[in-house]
Amino acid sequence: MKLIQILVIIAGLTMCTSCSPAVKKSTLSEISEQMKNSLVNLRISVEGYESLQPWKQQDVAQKTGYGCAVGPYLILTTADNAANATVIQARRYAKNEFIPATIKAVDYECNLCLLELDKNAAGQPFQPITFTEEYQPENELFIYWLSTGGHLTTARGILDRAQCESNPISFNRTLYYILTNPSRTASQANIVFDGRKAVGIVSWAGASEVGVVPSESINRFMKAAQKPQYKGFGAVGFDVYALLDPAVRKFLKMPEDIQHGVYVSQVFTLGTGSTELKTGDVILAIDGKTLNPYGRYLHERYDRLTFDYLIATRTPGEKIPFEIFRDGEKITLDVEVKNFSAADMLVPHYEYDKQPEYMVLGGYVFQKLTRDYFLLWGDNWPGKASPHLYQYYLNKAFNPTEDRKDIVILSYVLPAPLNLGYQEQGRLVVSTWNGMKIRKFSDIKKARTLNPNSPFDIVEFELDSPKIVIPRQMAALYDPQIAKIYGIQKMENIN
Amino acid sequence: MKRFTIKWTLPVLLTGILVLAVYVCAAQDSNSVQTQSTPAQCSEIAKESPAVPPTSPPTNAEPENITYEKSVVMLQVVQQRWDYKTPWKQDQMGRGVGTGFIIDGKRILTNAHNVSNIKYLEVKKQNIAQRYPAKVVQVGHDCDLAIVDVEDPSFYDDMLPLQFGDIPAVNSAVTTCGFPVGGMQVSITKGVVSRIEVGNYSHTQADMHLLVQTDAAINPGNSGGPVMQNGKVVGVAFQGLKAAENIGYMIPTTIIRHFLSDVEDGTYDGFPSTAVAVFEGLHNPAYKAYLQLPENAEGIVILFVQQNSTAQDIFKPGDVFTKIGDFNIDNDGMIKIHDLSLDWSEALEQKQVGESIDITFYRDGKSQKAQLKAALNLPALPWTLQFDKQPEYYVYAGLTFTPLSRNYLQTFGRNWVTDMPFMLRYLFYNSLQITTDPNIKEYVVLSEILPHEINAYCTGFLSQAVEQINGVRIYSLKDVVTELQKDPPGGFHQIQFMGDDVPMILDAAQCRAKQKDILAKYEVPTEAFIKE
Repeated sequence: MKLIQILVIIAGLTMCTSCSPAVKKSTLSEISEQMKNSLVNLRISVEGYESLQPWKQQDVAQKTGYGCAVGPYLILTTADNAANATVIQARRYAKNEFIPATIKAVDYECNLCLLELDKNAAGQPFQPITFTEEYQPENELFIYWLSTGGHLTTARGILDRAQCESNPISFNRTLYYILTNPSRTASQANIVFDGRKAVGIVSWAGASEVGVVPSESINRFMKAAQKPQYKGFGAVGFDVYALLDPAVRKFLKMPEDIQHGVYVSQVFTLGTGSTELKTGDVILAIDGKTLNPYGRYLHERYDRLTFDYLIATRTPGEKIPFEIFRDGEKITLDVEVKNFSAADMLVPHYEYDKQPEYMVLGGYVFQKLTRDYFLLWGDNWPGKASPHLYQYYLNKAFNPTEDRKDIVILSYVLPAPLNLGYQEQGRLVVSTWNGMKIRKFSDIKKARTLNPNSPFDIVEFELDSPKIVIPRQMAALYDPQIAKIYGIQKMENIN
Repeated sequence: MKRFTIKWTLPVLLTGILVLAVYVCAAQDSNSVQTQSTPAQCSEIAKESPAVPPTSPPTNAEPENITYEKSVVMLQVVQQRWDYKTPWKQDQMGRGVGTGFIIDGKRILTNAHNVSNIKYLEVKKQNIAQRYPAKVVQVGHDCDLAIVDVEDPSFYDDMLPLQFGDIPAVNSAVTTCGFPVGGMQVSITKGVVSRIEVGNYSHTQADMHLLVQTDAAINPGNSGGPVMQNGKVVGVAFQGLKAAENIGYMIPTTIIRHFLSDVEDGTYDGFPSTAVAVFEGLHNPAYKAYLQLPENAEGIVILFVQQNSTAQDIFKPGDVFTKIGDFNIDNDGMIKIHDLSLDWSEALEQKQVGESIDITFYRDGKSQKAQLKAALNLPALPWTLQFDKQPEYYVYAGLTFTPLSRNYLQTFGRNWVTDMPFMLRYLFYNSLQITTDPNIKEYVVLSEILPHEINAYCTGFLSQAVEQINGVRIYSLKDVVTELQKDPPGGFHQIQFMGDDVPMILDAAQCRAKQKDILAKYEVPTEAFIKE
């Protein structure tokens, strides 16, 4: 049996490239048979919170997801399916019942998630898929998924290239295989095969391109997820600028024979390199790999990749040598791989699975600034958002300090008699509360206890916006009414 | 006059919204479609409102059939704006038609927007073929008024100067007279005064003055024409609201008189600005109590005092203005003036630059008085458009530096407010608060790059504002010239732009060597134009 299988595989591989329909069909049907016991269709109930009414959950929504087994009762899917998920249910081929699933591990940066299925409800163990680390550009790859109707569905695409990119929700760049000319619209978490080898899982799928998380990232993630504490992977802690201008090289006193290296334009307070690098450094090589002026290096398998790959594939705590040019000479820095979560950022890139921090006091709605907040300005929010708020996101999102961990804002005012005169205020950045500098959202709690003999809470804002004077007694008296009028069950959520 | 209110962005937002909605009424490209309105009609209407004899007796016997409409003349103009990206060049030319009318002193009053950036000006009397070349004598862009004079003195012989009345009452009848689109003869329309409020004068896009609204049709071409009531001019027709029906505006005589009074000394100074931002905080009893104000106190809270202004050091944030001049300020910031309820700044509008006005205010619970000197108090980045002046510039190695202005920002197109680069938008909205350095005179922007190998790597810096050169903070275009003409240490200029971590590096020797070639290639007449 095995020999025949091997012969068939060899035949299949050699003939796949000539695209003989007969061979393709047999590979397809074989894999389809195997897939019946490996693929799942997911039904996910999602519930987030309203961005401008964070005391209120959004309307219940359901979405469809896909995934495949990587263990008898372990499912691999994309992180997007876990975001704000309340209930995840899986369905397998030819069975109607929903199988409850719980999240075992999730990483939004590499867009992967592991789900554990309820063994009793699942019944027979699944056939795990093994992901093979294989990269054959120009091959036609096949994409498989189990549709909501219980159908085994396929699509095709050509493997065009590998590149480092961010996925639609991440702030880091990791490796993706890019397929072009998809034969039909695929979806996240569809499984990608090169012949009989599983080579990846779809991260995003558009009309002309499909982004695939490759096997190496999947295997790396699964290995890390087995450890008792999931540590994740390295995040980049600096920003670069292409060093093309010969005048800049001369200015930096770089010798003529160094024509490579990328310029460090900004160093963050989070991430890899945040404590070792300085603005103006030129990174010549990372981990022995020479960087060109754009920050790309030659990978033996993937051709040119951005340096992010060298950091995103390592685990926090490891050390990587950075060869840099600083103050007229070459030095090597021992850089520690670090990572951080979106919540650590000054303006969090995303906030999933938890209620945002907020406080409603006297009708004044205080919130924490996150990237999502800007969506209230619509499609062209970079052009329309309040500039003072936007510059925190644009220039300082990766630079929290002890002095500033959150941007706390007065979002808007729920009109009530006690805030008469202030009702037009909104989108103001809080600077102090009762004289105390507000460094993070929870500081408000402490600030409210200050000046106990004063009848007021005084809130001051940046950019000379008016002070807000909140009469303490009146607010305590009227807040229950405000809660009732505006339907607020919980007037604050502070961590 | 320019003022700030807590709706901070009021002057700024209005620009975005109103500039689309409001149009100025100078018609472009006068056409020859004929819809006659005959002199007979004109004189009939004149009869309806009894003619008031002129206060000064005519020097010669009045010609028999002289009527006041004859004092309304047509202006034919050619205007050409400056190019704000490459300011040695001029921008598009446009021809237009507007209206003006004779006032005392043998002058013609019209709108500034009719004659701004003027290249050629001709005046034409009704039903007389002769064209009279003319020139602009005085112009007030901040109130959209201008005085024009015809070179030929005999022009005025058979025309009577029109007299000014007061602010007309709401719902009273008014008549306009002018040369709007649709014909070549004078056109009369009639309506009532609909509303009187402080609003935006769209010529500069950020000057706020009293506006008298009428439903008498005011169309492109009417600009500069008189609006009459009982034989007197009660306003100069000048703009309308596109998105609405029957909303036209005139400049009331309070503004006109301020303008005429201002130019008596031969120079136009302008309308003063309060230089403070205010907030209607006294509506909130808690805020009022916090400010230690007595129960019956009414007024407006000062949030912000503009740096380098006449208000600086005299007033502080937290002060509560209760009275300006003789007028009591209410909690909405309104005063009773001209028999109307108007914004408190209207009291300052009556003053000329250099005069003073008393302000009564509370500070730390105590009432006190101080004087505010009326001055322009222009910010380093004005919100208003500029006219008639060639923009300053300096070209170095093909890099064109020019002072940042609203005119430059509008080169980003129709949606310039959202399309312009972020740092410029941040400056436009908030420069007064984010720049606390009192030395700043103007912001300097890299407005254009004339391509050459020497600046081949500079394209990423286009449209950014200069912060420092070689470690020296830049406060004006002159500073840019000074620094770039020095020999920098190490031979490289380091230009730091606002909001950008990466500096622009220029090889000073190379730049100096190529300067002449670049200027010649792009036909730049002089490397700099800077007024002393």
